[in-house]
Amino acid sequence: MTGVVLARAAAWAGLLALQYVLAEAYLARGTWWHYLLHQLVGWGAGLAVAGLVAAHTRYRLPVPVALVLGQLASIVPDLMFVLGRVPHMRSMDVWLGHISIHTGPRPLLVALGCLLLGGWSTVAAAYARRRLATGLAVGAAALVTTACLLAEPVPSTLEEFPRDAPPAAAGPGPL
Amino acid sequence: MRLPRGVALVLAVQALGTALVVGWLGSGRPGAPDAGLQQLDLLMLSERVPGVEPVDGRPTMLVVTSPECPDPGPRRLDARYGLVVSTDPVLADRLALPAAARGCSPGYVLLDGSGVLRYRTYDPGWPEHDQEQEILLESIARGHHR
Repeated sequence: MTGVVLARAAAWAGLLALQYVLAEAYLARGTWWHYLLHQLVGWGAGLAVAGLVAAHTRYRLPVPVALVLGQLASIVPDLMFVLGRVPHMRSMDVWLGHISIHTGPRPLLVALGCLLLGGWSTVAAAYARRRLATGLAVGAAALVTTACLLAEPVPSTLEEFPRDAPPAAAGPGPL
Repeated sequence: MRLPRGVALVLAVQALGTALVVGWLGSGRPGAPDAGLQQLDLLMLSERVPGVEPVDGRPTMLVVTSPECPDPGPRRLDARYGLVVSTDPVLADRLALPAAARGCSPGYVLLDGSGVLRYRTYDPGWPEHDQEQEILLESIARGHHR
């Protein structure tokens, strides 16, 4: 019994340490905004998948596992950048819209919407509301997909860059 | 009432996500810095700008900033790459970084060794982000294409 408790405590400590290291890495690069976008989309996607799995199979994807898998899927291009020294490419949209989500409409709200819908899908599945869980999970996917389809293309000439969009101000903290 | 397994964690993560987004937007920061293009780390450009040249034929970072910005002190960048800092507002406009030379919103462009512009971004913390810049410059030196 004590062993199980210790193993769980260790797993949670590892999970929280991973979250801290990730957040700190984005902060150090001045990319907190990117952290928000990709973590929320990743968590939402993971929870949407967990909701679908629970609604349509007899299996249950544990919430922490769903969160971490979704999170990792959404930051593969960033891991490739830091660990593999590979710049971003437009084709990296396959990782949960990693490129287009930036230039789509209201990116932060879309990312938050994905998290809320995906999370509610998991909650609905936990209460055996299968159709609702499915609808919410599909809604999360549709939201991100629509935002990516509506995204402005990344400029390929200086002429195409917006001239009046404010850059983020400098600052040491995330908020 | 006891919640089903995992539900409390889902609700906690949703609350955290909401708080982070509200905190960001509530602090007055843009919902999409530079229309979402700030520090995208994607080598999107391939064009020459008259009068903009690399240093000694090396891949070069050209920073545009303003005299109002605090002096960042010694800048770190591998010696394989050139580094130029300008406060010229006309150049800032030509490089699509109009805010860089006014107020304090620095940005930079990256050139390959032949003078072709490959990347442009705002980055207020540019003096601290040498690793990011070197990865991009290294890719430019290798001839990475979109």
